Amino acid sequence: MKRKIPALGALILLAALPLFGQDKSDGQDYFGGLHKKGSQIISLTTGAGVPLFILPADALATEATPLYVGASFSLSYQYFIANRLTIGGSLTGAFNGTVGGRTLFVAPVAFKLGYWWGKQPVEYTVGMDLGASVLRLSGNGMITPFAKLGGGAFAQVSEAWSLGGQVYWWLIPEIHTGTYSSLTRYANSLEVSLGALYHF
Amino acid sequence: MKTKKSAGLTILLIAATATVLILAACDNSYGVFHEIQTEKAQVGTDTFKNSTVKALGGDGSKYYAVMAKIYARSTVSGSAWSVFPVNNDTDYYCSGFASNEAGTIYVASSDTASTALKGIYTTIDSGANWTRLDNASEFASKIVDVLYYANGKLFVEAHTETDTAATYALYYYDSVSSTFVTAGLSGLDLPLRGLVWGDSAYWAITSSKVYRSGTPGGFTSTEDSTSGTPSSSKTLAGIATDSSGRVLVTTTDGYLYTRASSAWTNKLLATSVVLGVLAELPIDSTPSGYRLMMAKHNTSYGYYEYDATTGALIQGNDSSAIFVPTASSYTTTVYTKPVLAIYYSAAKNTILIGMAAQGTDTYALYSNTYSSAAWSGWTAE
Repeated sequence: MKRKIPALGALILLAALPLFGQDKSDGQDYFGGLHKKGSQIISLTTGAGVPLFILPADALATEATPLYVGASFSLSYQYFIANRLTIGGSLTGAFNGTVGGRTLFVAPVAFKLGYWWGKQPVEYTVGMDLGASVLRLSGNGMITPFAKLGGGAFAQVSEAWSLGGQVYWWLIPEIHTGTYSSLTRYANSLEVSLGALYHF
Repeated sequence: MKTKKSAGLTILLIAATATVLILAACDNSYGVFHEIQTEKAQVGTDTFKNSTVKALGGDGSKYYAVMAKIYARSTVSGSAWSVFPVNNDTDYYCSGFASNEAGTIYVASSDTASTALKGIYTTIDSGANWTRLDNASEFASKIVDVLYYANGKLFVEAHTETDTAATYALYYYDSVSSTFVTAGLSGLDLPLRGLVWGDSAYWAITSSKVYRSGTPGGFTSTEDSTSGTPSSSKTLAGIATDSSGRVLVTTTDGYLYTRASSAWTNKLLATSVVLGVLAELPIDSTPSGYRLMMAKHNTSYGYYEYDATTGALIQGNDSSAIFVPTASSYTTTVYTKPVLAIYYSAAKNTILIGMAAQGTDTYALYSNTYSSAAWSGWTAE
Protein backbone atom coordinates (compact mmCIF):
# COMPACT_ATOMS: atom_id res chain seq x y z
CA MET A 1 0.00 0.00 0.00
CA LYS A 2 2.87 2.34 0.90
CA ARG A 3 4.29 1.80 -2.62
CA LYS A 4 0.92 2.46 -4.24
CA ILE A 5 0.63 6.01 -2.88
CA PRO A 6 3.70 7.45 -4.67
CA ALA A 7 2.75 5.61 -7.83
CA LEU A 8 -0.73 7.10 -7.73
CA GLY A 9 0.74 10.54 -7.15
CA ALA A 10 3.09 10.14 -10.11
CA LEU A 11 0.20 9.03 -12.27
CA ILE A 12 -1.86 12.04 -11.29
CA LEU A 13 1.08 14.36 -12.02
CA LEU A 14 1.65 12.76 -15.41
CA ALA A 15 -2.03 13.10 -16.18
CA ALA A 16 -1.90 16.75 -15.22
CA LEU A 17 1.15 17.60 -17.35
CA PRO A 18 -0.81 18.34 -20.53
CA LEU A 19 -2.74 21.00 -18.61
CA PHE A 20 0.45 23.13 -18.33
CA GLY A 21 0.78 23.02 -22.06
CA GLN A 22 -2.78 24.11 -22.74
CA ASP A 23 -3.61 27.69 -23.81
CA LYS A 24 -6.87 27.49 -21.97
CA SER A 25 -5.26 26.87 -18.64
CA ASP A 26 -7.34 29.69 -17.09
CA GLY A 27 -10.19 29.52 -19.52
CA GLN A 28 -8.58 32.06 -21.93
CA ASP A 29 -6.71 31.43 -25.14
CA TYR A 30 -4.99 34.86 -25.08
CA PHE A 31 -5.68 35.62 -28.71
CA GLY A 32 -4.64 32.25 -29.94
CA GLY A 33 -1.65 32.31 -27.66
CA LEU A 34 -0.23 35.45 -29.22
CA HIS A 35 -0.79 37.42 -26.01
CA LYS A 36 0.64 34.77 -23.75
CA LYS A 37 3.67 35.17 -21.58
CA GLY A 38 6.79 34.74 -23.68
CA SER A 39 5.21 35.94 -26.93
CA GLN A 40 6.69 38.93 -28.73
CA ILE A 41 5.46 41.68 -31.03
CA ILE A 42 7.26 43.95 -33.44
CA SER A 43 5.16 46.83 -34.65
CA LEU A 44 5.63 49.39 -37.39
CA THR A 45 3.37 52.42 -37.56
CA THR A 46 3.11 55.52 -39.67
CA GLY A 47 0.62 58.31 -39.57
CA ALA A 48 -0.13 61.90 -38.72
CA GLY A 49 1.10 64.02 -35.84
CA VAL A 50 -1.62 66.48 -34.91
CA PRO A 51 -0.37 69.36 -32.75
CA LEU A 52 -2.82 70.18 -29.95
CA PHE A 53 -1.47 72.90 -27.67
CA ILE A 54 1.65 74.17 -25.94
CA LEU A 55 1.59 75.23 -22.29
CA PRO A 56 2.02 77.79 -20.92
CA ALA A 57 0.75 80.21 -23.57
CA ASP A 58 3.33 82.76 -24.74
CA ALA A 59 2.51 86.44 -24.37
CA LEU A 60 4.37 87.18 -27.60
CA ALA A 61 2.50 84.56 -29.62
CA THR A 62 0.55 85.83 -32.60
CA GLU A 63 -0.67 82.59 -34.16
CA ALA A 64 -3.26 80.30 -32.56
CA THR A 65 -1.76 77.19 -34.17
CA PRO A 66 1.93 77.69 -34.92
CA LEU A 67 2.48 74.05 -35.92
CA TYR A 68 0.97 72.26 -38.88
CA VAL A 69 -0.16 68.62 -38.94
CA GLY A 70 2.91 66.52 -39.57
CA ALA A 71 3.96 62.92 -39.98
CA SER A 72 5.21 60.30 -37.59
CA PHE A 73 6.57 56.81 -37.79
CA SER A 74 7.68 54.31 -35.19
CA LEU A 75 9.24 50.94 -34.67
CA SER A 76 8.65 49.10 -31.42
CA TYR A 77 9.34 45.77 -29.79
CA GLN A 78 7.23 44.27 -27.01
CA TYR A 79 7.74 41.14 -24.95
CA PHE A 80 4.94 39.53 -22.92
CA ILE A 81 6.28 39.30 -19.39
CA ALA A 82 2.91 37.95 -18.33
CA ASN A 83 -0.22 37.03 -20.17
CA ARG A 84 -1.44 40.23 -21.87
CA LEU A 85 1.23 42.42 -20.29
CA THR A 86 4.21 43.60 -22.30
CA ILE A 87 7.32 45.62 -21.81
CA GLY A 88 9.58 46.80 -24.58
CA GLY A 89 10.93 49.81 -26.34
CA SER A 90 10.14 52.14 -29.18
CA LEU A 91 11.98 54.36 -31.63
CA THR A 92 9.88 57.13 -33.11
CA GLY A 93 10.39 60.00 -35.51
CA ALA A 94 8.04 62.87 -36.25
CA PHE A 95 8.09 66.02 -38.36
CA ASN A 96 5.87 69.07 -38.15
CA GLY A 97 6.10 72.22 -40.24
CA THR A 98 5.81 75.57 -38.49
CA VAL A 99 3.96 78.68 -39.63
CA GLY A 100 7.33 80.35 -39.99
CA GLY A 101 8.39 77.82 -42.60
CA ARG A 102 10.65 75.70 -40.41
CA THR A 103 10.49 72.01 -39.56
CA LEU A 104 10.35 70.62 -36.05
CA PHE A 105 11.90 67.17 -35.78
CA VAL A 106 11.08 65.01 -32.78
CA ALA A 107 12.82 61.68 -32.21
CA PRO A 108 11.74 59.89 -29.03
CA VAL A 109 13.37 56.76 -27.67
CA ALA A 110 11.16 55.20 -25.01
CA PHE A 111 10.52 52.31 -22.68
CA LYS A 112 7.15 50.78 -23.49
CA LEU A 113 4.50 49.19 -21.31
CA GLY A 114 1.44 47.58 -22.93
CA TYR A 115 -1.66 45.60 -22.20
CA TRP A 116 -3.25 43.43 -24.91
CA TRP A 117 -6.56 41.64 -25.18
CA GLY A 118 -9.10 40.68 -27.80
CA LYS A 119 -11.01 37.91 -29.47
CA GLN A 120 -9.74 36.73 -32.78
CA PRO A 121 -9.56 38.27 -35.26
CA VAL A 122 -9.51 41.65 -33.49
CA GLU A 123 -6.99 42.53 -30.81
CA TYR A 124 -6.74 45.67 -28.73
CA THR A 125 -3.99 47.38 -26.83
CA VAL A 126 -3.50 50.24 -24.45
CA GLY A 127 -0.08 51.38 -23.51
CA MET A 128 2.31 54.01 -22.38
CA ASP A 129 5.78 55.04 -23.53
CA LEU A 130 8.21 56.83 -21.25
CA GLY A 131 11.57 58.03 -22.40
CA ALA A 132 13.53 60.88 -23.88
CA SER A 133 13.26 62.78 -27.09
CA VAL A 134 15.57 64.76 -29.30
CA LEU A 135 14.03 68.03 -30.54
CA ARG A 136 15.60 69.84 -33.47
CA LEU A 137 14.61 73.21 -34.93
CA SER A 138 16.78 75.43 -37.16
CA GLY A 139 19.89 73.54 -36.13
CA ASN A 140 19.23 74.01 -32.42
CA GLY A 141 18.12 71.23 -30.19
CA MET A 142 17.14 69.91 -26.83
CA ILE A 143 16.92 66.51 -25.18
CA THR A 144 13.62 66.34 -23.32
CA PRO A 145 11.56 63.83 -21.40
CA PHE A 146 8.86 62.16 -23.43
CA ALA A 147 5.64 60.32 -22.68
CA LYS A 148 2.78 59.01 -24.74
CA LEU A 149 -0.39 57.28 -23.74
CA GLY A 150 -3.03 55.64 -25.88
CA GLY A 151 -4.14 52.51 -27.61
CA GLY A 152 -5.15 50.82 -30.79
CA ALA A 153 -7.11 48.08 -32.48
CA PHE A 154 -5.72 45.59 -34.98
CA ALA A 155 -7.28 42.88 -37.13
CA GLN A 156 -5.41 39.63 -37.57
CA VAL A 157 -4.78 39.03 -41.26
CA SER A 158 -2.57 35.95 -40.95
CA GLU A 159 -1.17 33.75 -38.24
CA ALA A 160 1.56 36.27 -37.46
CA TRP A 161 0.39 39.58 -38.88
CA SER A 162 -2.24 42.06 -37.80
CA LEU A 163 -3.10 45.42 -39.33
CA GLY A 164 -4.89 48.30 -37.68
CA GLY A 165 -4.63 51.72 -36.20
CA GLN A 166 -3.75 53.52 -33.03
CA VAL A 167 -4.16 56.87 -31.31
CA TYR A 168 -1.64 58.19 -28.79
CA TRP A 169 -1.45 61.40 -26.80
CA TRP A 170 2.09 62.78 -26.77
CA LEU A 171 3.47 64.93 -23.98
CA ILE A 172 6.85 66.57 -24.46
CA PRO A 173 7.99 68.57 -21.44
CA GLU A 174 10.79 70.87 -22.61
CA ILE A 175 12.49 71.69 -19.33
CA HIS A 176 14.86 74.64 -19.00
CA THR A 177 16.69 75.49 -15.85
CA GLY A 178 18.21 78.51 -14.11
CA THR A 179 17.91 81.85 -15.86
CA TYR A 180 16.23 80.16 -18.81
CA SER A 181 13.48 78.45 -16.81
CA SER A 182 10.96 80.80 -18.43
CA LEU A 183 11.51 78.85 -21.66
CA THR A 184 10.03 75.68 -20.14
CA ARG A 185 7.09 74.46 -22.22
CA TYR A 186 4.81 71.42 -22.30
CA ALA A 187 3.87 70.42 -25.82
CA ASN A 188 0.89 68.20 -26.46
CA SER A 189 0.02 66.43 -29.67
CA LEU A 190 -1.94 63.49 -30.99
CA GLU A 191 -0.52 60.64 -33.02
CA VAL A 192 -3.07 59.01 -35.32
CA SER A 193 -1.42 56.21 -37.22
CA LEU A 194 -1.84 52.98 -39.10
CA GLY A 195 0.25 50.03 -38.08
CA ALA A 196 1.32 46.49 -38.75
CA LEU A 197 2.06 43.96 -35.99
CA TYR A 198 4.23 40.93 -36.32
CA HIS A 199 3.63 38.28 -33.64
CA PHE A 200 6.23 35.68 -32.89
CA MET B 1 35.75 37.89 -13.34
CA LYS B 2 38.14 40.76 -13.98
CA THR B 3 37.19 40.70 -17.66
CA LYS B 4 33.50 41.02 -16.79
CA LYS B 5 34.22 43.93 -14.45
CA SER B 6 36.33 45.59 -17.09
CA ALA B 7 33.61 45.20 -19.72
CA GLY B 8 31.06 46.62 -17.30
CA LEU B 9 33.24 49.61 -16.57
CA THR B 10 33.81 50.18 -20.29
CA ILE B 11 30.06 50.12 -20.98
CA LEU B 12 29.50 52.48 -18.05
CA LEU B 13 32.19 54.81 -19.36
CA ILE B 14 30.72 54.79 -22.86
CA ALA B 15 27.22 55.45 -21.49
CA ALA B 16 28.51 58.30 -19.30
CA THR B 17 30.42 59.82 -22.23
CA ALA B 18 27.38 59.53 -24.48
CA THR B 19 25.20 61.17 -21.84
CA VAL B 20 27.66 64.04 -21.41
CA LEU B 21 27.90 64.53 -25.19
CA ILE B 22 24.13 64.47 -25.62
CA LEU B 23 23.63 66.96 -22.81
CA ALA B 24 26.41 69.15 -24.19
CA ALA B 25 24.55 69.23 -27.52
CA CYS B 26 21.58 70.81 -25.76
CA ASP B 27 21.30 74.56 -25.63
CA ASN B 28 19.55 75.51 -22.41
CA SER B 29 19.13 79.05 -23.70
CA TYR B 30 17.20 77.97 -26.78
CA GLY B 31 13.51 77.28 -26.23
CA VAL B 32 12.32 75.12 -29.09
CA PHE B 33 8.61 75.43 -28.33
CA HIS B 34 8.96 79.05 -27.22
CA GLU B 35 10.48 79.76 -30.65
CA ILE B 36 7.60 77.96 -32.35
CA GLN B 37 4.97 79.73 -30.25
CA THR B 38 6.27 83.13 -31.30
CA GLU B 39 6.53 82.39 -35.01
CA LYS B 40 4.46 84.49 -37.33
CA ALA B 41 3.08 83.30 -40.65
CA GLN B 42 4.77 85.31 -43.40
CA VAL B 43 2.54 86.07 -46.36
CA GLY B 44 4.19 88.51 -48.69
CA THR B 45 3.99 89.60 -52.30
CA ASP B 46 4.51 86.74 -54.76
CA THR B 47 6.95 88.88 -56.73
CA PHE B 48 9.42 88.73 -53.85
CA LYS B 49 9.16 84.97 -53.29
CA ASN B 50 12.24 83.02 -54.41
CA SER B 51 13.71 86.21 -55.85
CA THR B 52 16.46 88.74 -55.13
CA VAL B 53 16.17 92.34 -54.02
CA LYS B 54 19.53 93.93 -54.74
CA ALA B 55 18.87 97.55 -53.78
CA LEU B 56 16.35 99.59 -51.82
CA GLY B 57 15.38 103.22 -51.53
CA GLY B 58 12.67 105.73 -50.87
CA ASP B 59 11.63 109.26 -51.67
CA GLY B 60 9.26 110.03 -48.83
CA SER B 61 6.09 108.93 -50.55
CA LYS B 62 7.20 105.60 -52.03
CA TYR B 63 9.49 102.70 -51.23
CA TYR B 64 11.51 101.19 -54.07
CA ALA B 65 12.83 97.65 -54.31
CA VAL B 66 15.21 96.89 -57.16
CA MET B 67 15.13 93.49 -58.81
CA ALA B 68 15.43 93.14 -62.60
CA LYS B 69 12.89 95.95 -62.63
CA ILE B 70 12.01 98.39 -59.90
CA TYR B 71 8.98 97.61 -57.77
CA ALA B 72 7.40 100.38 -55.76
CA ARG B 73 4.67 100.91 -53.23
CA SER B 74 3.27 103.84 -51.29
CA THR B 75 4.75 104.32 -47.84
CA VAL B 76 1.19 103.98 -46.52
CA SER B 77 1.13 100.75 -44.57
CA GLY B 78 -0.40 97.82 -46.43
CA SER B 79 -0.02 99.32 -49.91
CA ALA B 80 0.61 96.88 -52.76
CA TRP B 81 3.86 96.59 -54.69
CA SER B 82 3.82 96.93 -58.47
CA VAL B 83 6.25 97.41 -61.32
CA PHE B 84 7.49 100.98 -61.34
CA PRO B 85 7.46 102.50 -64.86
CA VAL B 86 10.58 104.47 -65.71
CA ASN B 87 9.84 107.28 -68.11
CA ASN B 88 6.49 105.55 -68.78
CA ASP B 89 8.28 102.34 -69.75
CA THR B 90 7.84 99.02 -67.95
CA ASP B 91 9.90 96.93 -70.42
CA TYR B 92 13.32 97.73 -69.01
CA TYR B 93 16.12 96.32 -66.92
CA CYS B 94 17.18 98.40 -63.94
CA SER B 95 20.95 98.72 -64.15
CA GLY B 96 21.20 101.35 -61.46
CA PHE B 97 19.14 103.01 -58.75
CA ALA B 98 19.89 105.74 -56.24
CA SER B 99 17.97 108.15 -54.07
CA ASN B 100 19.06 111.39 -52.43
CA GLU B 101 16.83 110.83 -49.38
CA ALA B 102 15.23 114.19 -50.13
CA GLY B 103 12.55 113.20 -52.60
CA THR B 104 14.60 112.57 -55.73
CA ILE B 105 15.41 109.20 -57.23
CA TYR B 106 17.71 108.27 -60.11
CA VAL B 107 17.33 105.24 -62.35
CA ALA B 108 19.54 103.76 -65.07
CA SER B 109 17.22 101.96 -67.44
CA SER B 110 18.58 99.43 -69.93
CA ASP B 111 17.28 97.31 -72.75
CA THR B 112 16.24 93.89 -71.41
CA ALA B 113 17.78 92.04 -74.37
CA SER B 114 20.83 94.05 -75.43
CA THR B 115 21.68 95.73 -72.08
CA ALA B 116 22.10 98.97 -74.05
CA LEU B 117 21.33 101.98 -71.91
CA LYS B 118 17.89 103.46 -72.46
CA GLY B 119 18.76 106.40 -70.30
CA ILE B 120 19.66 107.67 -66.86
CA TYR B 121 16.53 109.32 -65.54
CA THR B 122 15.55 111.30 -62.50
CA THR B 123 12.20 112.15 -60.97
CA ILE B 124 11.27 114.42 -58.10
CA ASP B 125 7.63 113.38 -57.99
CA SER B 126 7.76 109.60 -57.58
CA GLY B 127 7.65 108.91 -61.30
CA ALA B 128 4.97 111.32 -62.48
CA ASN B 129 7.53 113.26 -64.52
CA TRP B 130 11.00 112.26 -65.66
CA THR B 131 14.12 114.06 -66.79
CA ARG B 132 16.81 112.30 -68.76
CA LEU B 133 20.29 113.18 -67.51
CA ASP B 134 22.58 111.49 -70.06
CA ASN B 135 22.83 112.69 -73.63
CA ALA B 136 22.38 109.26 -75.24
CA SER B 137 25.98 109.07 -76.45
CA GLU B 138 27.89 109.29 -73.15
CA PHE B 139 27.43 105.61 -72.33
CA ALA B 140 26.82 104.35 -75.86
CA SER B 141 29.79 101.97 -75.82
CA LYS B 142 29.58 101.14 -72.13
CA ILE B 143 27.45 99.03 -69.86
CA VAL B 144 26.10 100.88 -66.86
CA ASP B 145 26.43 98.79 -63.69
CA VAL B 146 25.29 100.86 -60.77
CA LEU B 147 24.37 104.36 -59.57
CA TYR B 148 25.53 105.96 -56.32
CA TYR B 149 24.41 109.17 -54.68
CA ALA B 150 26.72 110.85 -52.19
CA ASN B 151 27.03 114.39 -50.85
CA GLY B 152 24.80 115.88 -53.51
CA LYS B 153 26.41 114.13 -56.47
CA LEU B 154 25.19 111.32 -58.67
CA PHE B 155 27.86 108.79 -59.66
CA VAL B 156 27.70 106.15 -62.37
CA GLU B 157 29.90 103.10 -62.61
CA ALA B 158 30.09 101.60 -66.09
CA HIS B 159 32.28 99.02 -67.72
CA THR B 160 33.53 98.01 -71.14
CA GLU B 161 34.08 94.41 -72.09
CA THR B 162 36.37 92.42 -74.30
CA ASP B 163 36.25 88.66 -74.76
CA THR B 164 38.64 88.20 -71.87
CA ALA B 165 38.19 91.06 -69.44
CA ALA B 166 36.09 93.96 -68.25
CA THR B 167 37.36 97.34 -67.17
CA TYR B 168 35.42 99.64 -64.92
CA ALA B 169 35.25 103.41 -64.66
CA LEU B 170 33.47 105.93 -62.47
CA TYR B 171 31.66 109.06 -63.66
CA TYR B 172 29.67 111.76 -61.95
CA TYR B 173 26.96 114.11 -63.12
CA ASP B 174 28.17 117.68 -63.45
CA SER B 175 25.07 119.80 -63.00
CA VAL B 176 26.82 122.85 -64.45
CA SER B 177 27.59 121.28 -67.80
CA SER B 178 24.65 118.86 -67.52
CA THR B 179 26.93 116.02 -68.59
CA PHE B 180 28.52 112.99 -67.05
CA VAL B 181 32.25 113.46 -66.61
CA THR B 182 34.97 111.22 -65.30
CA ALA B 183 35.38 110.97 -61.56
CA GLY B 184 39.04 110.06 -62.04
CA LEU B 185 38.71 106.31 -61.64
CA SER B 186 39.12 104.37 -64.86
CA GLY B 187 40.67 101.17 -66.09
CA LEU B 188 39.77 99.34 -62.88
CA ASP B 189 39.89 95.58 -63.16
CA LEU B 190 37.32 95.18 -60.41
CA PRO B 191 33.88 96.73 -59.99
CA LEU B 192 33.15 99.10 -57.15
CA ARG B 193 31.38 97.74 -54.11
CA GLY B 194 30.21 101.07 -52.78
CA LEU B 195 30.68 104.82 -52.70
CA VAL B 196 29.93 107.17 -49.81
CA TRP B 197 30.74 110.58 -48.39
CA GLY B 198 32.26 110.65 -44.93
CA ASP B 199 35.12 112.08 -42.89
CA SER B 200 35.15 115.05 -45.32
CA ALA B 201 35.80 113.00 -48.47
CA TYR B 202 34.26 110.73 -51.07
CA TRP B 203 35.19 107.08 -50.60
CA ALA B 204 34.88 104.27 -53.10
CA ILE B 205 35.91 100.66 -52.62
CA THR B 206 36.52 97.67 -54.78
CA SER B 207 37.02 94.30 -53.15
CA SER B 208 40.71 95.08 -52.70
CA LYS B 209 41.22 98.82 -52.68
CA VAL B 210 40.00 102.00 -51.02
CA TYR B 211 39.90 105.20 -53.06
CA ARG B 212 39.50 108.67 -51.59
CA SER B 213 38.78 112.07 -53.11
CA GLY B 214 37.94 115.47 -51.75
CA THR B 215 35.95 116.32 -54.85
CA PRO B 216 33.63 114.24 -57.02
CA GLY B 217 36.06 114.40 -59.94
CA GLY B 218 39.24 114.13 -57.94
CA PHE B 219 39.66 110.37 -57.56
CA THR B 220 42.88 108.85 -58.78
CA SER B 221 43.67 105.23 -59.45
CA THR B 222 46.06 105.32 -56.50
CA GLU B 223 44.48 103.82 -53.47
CA ASP B 224 44.12 105.66 -50.21
CA SER B 225 47.28 105.43 -48.16
CA THR B 226 46.36 107.23 -44.98
CA SER B 227 47.23 105.66 -41.66
CA GLY B 228 45.61 102.29 -41.11
CA THR B 229 44.11 101.89 -44.58
CA PRO B 230 42.79 98.34 -45.05
CA SER B 231 45.69 96.35 -46.47
CA SER B 232 45.55 94.86 -49.93
CA SER B 233 45.39 91.41 -48.37
CA LYS B 234 41.91 92.18 -47.11
CA THR B 235 38.82 91.55 -49.18
CA LEU B 236 36.53 94.51 -48.70
CA ALA B 237 32.81 93.84 -48.59
CA GLY B 238 30.67 96.85 -47.69
CA ILE B 239 31.00 100.58 -47.06
CA ALA B 240 28.72 103.01 -45.24
CA THR B 241 28.80 106.17 -43.19
CA ASP B 242 27.31 106.75 -39.78
CA SER B 243 25.59 109.65 -38.04
CA SER B 244 28.96 110.94 -36.83
CA GLY B 245 30.30 111.16 -40.38
CA ARG B 246 32.65 108.21 -39.97
CA VAL B 247 33.36 105.86 -42.85
CA LEU B 248 32.82 102.17 -42.09
CA VAL B 249 34.17 99.29 -44.15
CA THR B 250 33.57 95.59 -43.56
CA THR B 251 35.83 92.77 -44.72
CA THR B 252 35.27 89.15 -45.55
CA ASP B 253 37.44 88.04 -42.63
CA GLY B 254 35.29 89.66 -39.98
CA TYR B 255 36.92 93.07 -39.57
CA LEU B 256 35.27 96.45 -39.30
CA TYR B 257 37.45 99.38 -40.41
CA THR B 258 36.50 102.87 -39.28
CA ARG B 259 37.79 106.09 -40.81
CA ALA B 260 37.49 109.11 -38.51
CA SER B 261 39.64 112.18 -37.98
CA SER B 262 41.74 111.34 -41.02
CA ALA B 263 42.88 107.92 -39.77
CA TRP B 264 41.67 104.35 -40.01
CA THR B 265 41.21 102.01 -37.09
CA ASN B 266 40.09 98.44 -37.23
CA LYS B 267 38.54 95.81 -35.02
CA LEU B 268 38.11 92.10 -35.47
CA LEU B 269 34.41 91.58 -34.82
CA ALA B 270 34.02 87.93 -35.69
CA THR B 271 36.59 85.29 -36.59
CA SER B 272 35.89 83.23 -39.71
CA VAL B 273 32.79 85.23 -40.54
CA VAL B 274 32.25 86.96 -43.86
CA LEU B 275 30.80 90.41 -43.27
CA GLY B 276 28.87 92.22 -45.99
CA VAL B 277 26.76 95.31 -46.55
CA LEU B 278 26.09 97.46 -43.53
CA ALA B 279 23.98 100.39 -42.40
CA GLU B 280 23.63 102.44 -39.28
CA LEU B 281 20.11 102.28 -37.85
CA PRO B 282 18.49 104.13 -34.96
CA ILE B 283 17.46 101.96 -32.04
CA ASP B 284 14.24 103.94 -31.60
CA SER B 285 12.40 106.90 -33.09
CA THR B 286 14.16 109.59 -31.03
CA PRO B 287 16.82 108.30 -31.82
CA SER B 288 18.48 107.71 -28.49
CA GLY B 289 21.23 105.60 -30.00
CA TYR B 290 22.32 103.64 -33.04
CA ARG B 291 23.37 100.17 -34.02
CA LEU B 292 25.10 98.95 -37.11
CA MET B 293 23.33 96.21 -38.99
CA MET B 294 25.90 94.10 -40.81
CA ALA B 295 25.21 91.27 -43.24
CA LYS B 296 27.13 88.13 -42.28
CA HIS B 297 27.84 84.66 -43.52
CA ASN B 298 29.21 81.90 -41.35
CA THR B 299 27.21 78.72 -40.87
CA SER B 300 24.18 80.66 -42.02
CA TYR B 301 23.36 84.14 -43.29
CA GLY B 302 21.43 87.03 -41.78
CA TYR B 303 23.00 89.93 -39.93
CA TYR B 304 24.71 91.09 -36.77
CA GLU B 305 23.74 94.07 -34.71
CA TYR B 306 26.83 95.99 -33.61
CA ASP B 307 26.77 98.46 -30.76
CA ALA B 308 29.72 100.76 -31.48
CA THR B 309 29.40 102.34 -28.04
CA THR B 310 29.92 99.14 -26.10
CA GLY B 311 31.69 97.19 -28.85
CA ALA B 312 29.15 94.39 -28.50
CA LEU B 313 28.49 92.22 -31.53
CA ILE B 314 25.03 90.73 -31.24
CA GLN B 315 23.46 87.89 -33.19
CA GLY B 316 20.27 88.97 -34.93
CA ASN B 317 18.21 86.61 -32.79
CA ASP B 318 19.96 87.23 -29.49
CA SER B 319 17.82 88.23 -26.53
CA SER B 320 19.61 91.59 -26.50
CA ALA B 321 18.95 92.22 -30.20
CA ILE B 322 17.06 95.48 -30.69
CA PHE B 323 15.34 94.97 -34.01
CA VAL B 324 13.31 91.84 -33.29
CA PRO B 325 10.87 91.30 -30.41
CA THR B 326 11.35 87.53 -30.59
CA ALA B 327 14.19 85.35 -31.82
CA SER B 328 11.86 83.60 -34.26
CA SER B 329 11.16 86.93 -35.97
CA TYR B 330 14.78 86.74 -37.15
CA THR B 331 15.27 83.00 -37.61
CA THR B 332 12.18 82.54 -39.77
CA THR B 333 12.83 85.53 -42.01
CA VAL B 334 16.41 86.70 -42.45
CA TYR B 335 18.56 83.99 -40.93
CA THR B 336 18.94 81.71 -43.95
CA LYS B 337 19.44 84.32 -46.68
CA PRO B 338 22.27 86.62 -47.78
CA VAL B 339 21.43 90.24 -46.95
CA LEU B 340 22.08 92.50 -49.94
CA ALA B 341 20.45 95.82 -49.07
CA ILE B 342 19.32 97.71 -45.98
CA TYR B 343 17.26 100.91 -46.12
CA TYR B 344 15.87 103.05 -43.33
CA SER B 345 13.05 105.55 -43.72
CA ALA B 346 13.32 108.07 -40.90
CA ALA B 347 9.93 109.56 -41.76
CA LYS B 348 8.21 106.21 -41.32
CA ASN B 349 10.56 104.67 -38.71
CA THR B 350 10.73 101.70 -41.02
CA ILE B 351 13.59 99.44 -42.07
CA LEU B 352 13.47 97.52 -45.33
CA ILE B 353 15.85 94.62 -45.80
CA GLY B 354 16.51 93.01 -49.18
CA MET B 355 17.96 89.54 -49.62
CA ALA B 356 18.75 86.79 -52.09
CA ALA B 357 15.95 84.28 -51.55
CA GLN B 358 16.14 82.06 -54.62
CA GLY B 359 15.29 78.47 -53.85
CA THR B 360 14.25 79.18 -50.27
CA ASP B 361 10.50 79.30 -50.90
CA THR B 362 10.52 82.45 -48.79
CA TYR B 363 10.61 86.16 -49.47
CA ALA B 364 13.40 88.52 -50.47
CA LEU B 365 11.97 91.65 -48.89
CA TYR B 366 10.89 92.31 -45.30
CA SER B 367 10.02 95.44 -43.35
CA ASN B 368 10.30 96.31 -39.69
CA THR B 369 8.64 99.36 -38.12
CA TYR B 370 9.26 101.09 -34.81
CA SER B 371 5.94 101.76 -33.13
CA SER B 372 4.63 101.86 -29.55
CA ALA B 373 8.17 101.86 -28.16
CA ALA B 374 9.23 98.66 -29.90
CA TRP B 375 10.31 97.28 -33.24
CA SER B 376 7.65 95.16 -34.86
CA GLY B 377 10.00 92.46 -36.11
CA TRP B 378 10.38 91.39 -39.72
CA THR B 379 7.27 91.08 -41.87
CA ALA B 380 7.30 89.89 -45.46
CA GLU B 381 6.46 92.64 -47.93
